[in-house]
Amino acid sequence: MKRSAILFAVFVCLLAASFVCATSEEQIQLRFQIYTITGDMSEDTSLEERIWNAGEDGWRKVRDAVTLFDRGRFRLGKDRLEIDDEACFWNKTELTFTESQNVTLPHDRIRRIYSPSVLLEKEKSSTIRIHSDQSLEYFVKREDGLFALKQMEVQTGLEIMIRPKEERNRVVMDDIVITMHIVGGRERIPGLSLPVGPPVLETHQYKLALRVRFHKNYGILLRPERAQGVILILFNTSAITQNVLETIKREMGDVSYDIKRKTRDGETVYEVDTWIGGRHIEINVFSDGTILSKHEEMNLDELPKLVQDSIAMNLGGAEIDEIQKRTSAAGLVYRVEADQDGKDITLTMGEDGTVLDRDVDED
Amino acid sequence: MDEFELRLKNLLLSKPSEDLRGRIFGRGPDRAVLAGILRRPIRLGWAVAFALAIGLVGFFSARLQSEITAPRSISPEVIVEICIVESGSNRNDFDLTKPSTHFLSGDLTVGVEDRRGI
Repeated sequence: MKRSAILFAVFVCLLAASFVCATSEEQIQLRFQIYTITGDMSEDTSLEERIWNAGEDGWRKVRDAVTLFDRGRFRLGKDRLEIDDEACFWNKTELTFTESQNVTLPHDRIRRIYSPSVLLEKEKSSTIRIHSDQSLEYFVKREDGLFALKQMEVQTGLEIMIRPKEERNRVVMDDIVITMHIVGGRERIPGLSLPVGPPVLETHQYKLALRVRFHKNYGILLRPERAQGVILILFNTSAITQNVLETIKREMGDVSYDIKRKTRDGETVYEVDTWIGGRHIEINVFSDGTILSKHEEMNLDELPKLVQDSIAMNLGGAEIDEIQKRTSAAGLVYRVEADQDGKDITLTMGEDGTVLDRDVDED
Repeated sequence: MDEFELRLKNLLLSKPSEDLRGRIFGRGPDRAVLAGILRRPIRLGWAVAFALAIGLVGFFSARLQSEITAPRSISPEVIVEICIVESGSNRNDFDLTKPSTHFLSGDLTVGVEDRRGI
């Protein structure tokens, strides 16, 4: 009886360990921003390095319908959508890879459909489906010469099938299949030049093979044949674990963030940066979700009185560039970067204002 | 049964040797050894551990087998994310028609005037 109890406990431990391993296992996070742009626009795109990962024949089949880029500028009248490898802007407003960011672009011809973020297992086929339930409206000409407004219930949308794997710090997606069910145009109504006739439903499919860098923004511009608009897919990739994602959500909430994978003392550490209320916050997280350190930008008046006094005494007259509250297993310290007489000074202080380290950069 | 037969029946005879049995019937399995193994008490712990190990080996070999042999086109998909778009406007997000159809959103009265008589 005693032995079977021990065995049962061992079995439960094994199960728990396998669960922990599964959630600590690195996966590929893909963050998307998906737009539609209709009508005329001018575009200027470029690609720094080759990301197409298949032969010339494959590329020849899709190159008229697909544009791959890491820098792009799309002009719609006076408005501009700009994308580079790090950020995306609509005029001056940054568009982030956040699901909750509610973006209504003040332009009839461009719409951000959705910005999903998905966590995919490496080397497993996954499908991302985005569809619209919105009915389609159109006019038909009646026998008496008047027009009747009608509605059509049809499912339109986008499906992205993907099977990511990691090779030499790149994400390789050799068999992306993008299927679009769209309204490509309208049937002509005799006597009317406006495109208000019954919708012409089309299905387009593109097969892509890409090899991209982590943490970099890329764009795929899809031009369905005969359609009067384009679909723009922006995406970036990160290697991350479920535990790290949960820690980010717990510590930072549902925010847009940059993530980099680093190795420190032989262990993988994920450096996550974000800005909340204009303040820079950085957390360094191990793959199991435990926090190595947290750096928060602070204002001078938010610091403890002893630390404020120490700054006044040690950096009197200096121009303060940045103050950080740094917490880790080792404890809490305050780090102040300042400019004094042309010298960059970095001061590290304890909670009681004691100077723990002073670094002066003469340059 | 006569007296001779009765005596013969009650006569104590020694068993044939294993060697003789082997020569007459051919050499079979060493039942004594096998019986010894079978009669050996099996501990519950070992039985559970053995079953667990067999199960794990079966699970991983099946998984490996499916990865090797399953054609990619019919491999099961692991994650399916379905996002339903709740559009703010009453225009379908995947309608790539030029936006002159926007006026359909509001109240609209359409009539066609026949001016051929003028």
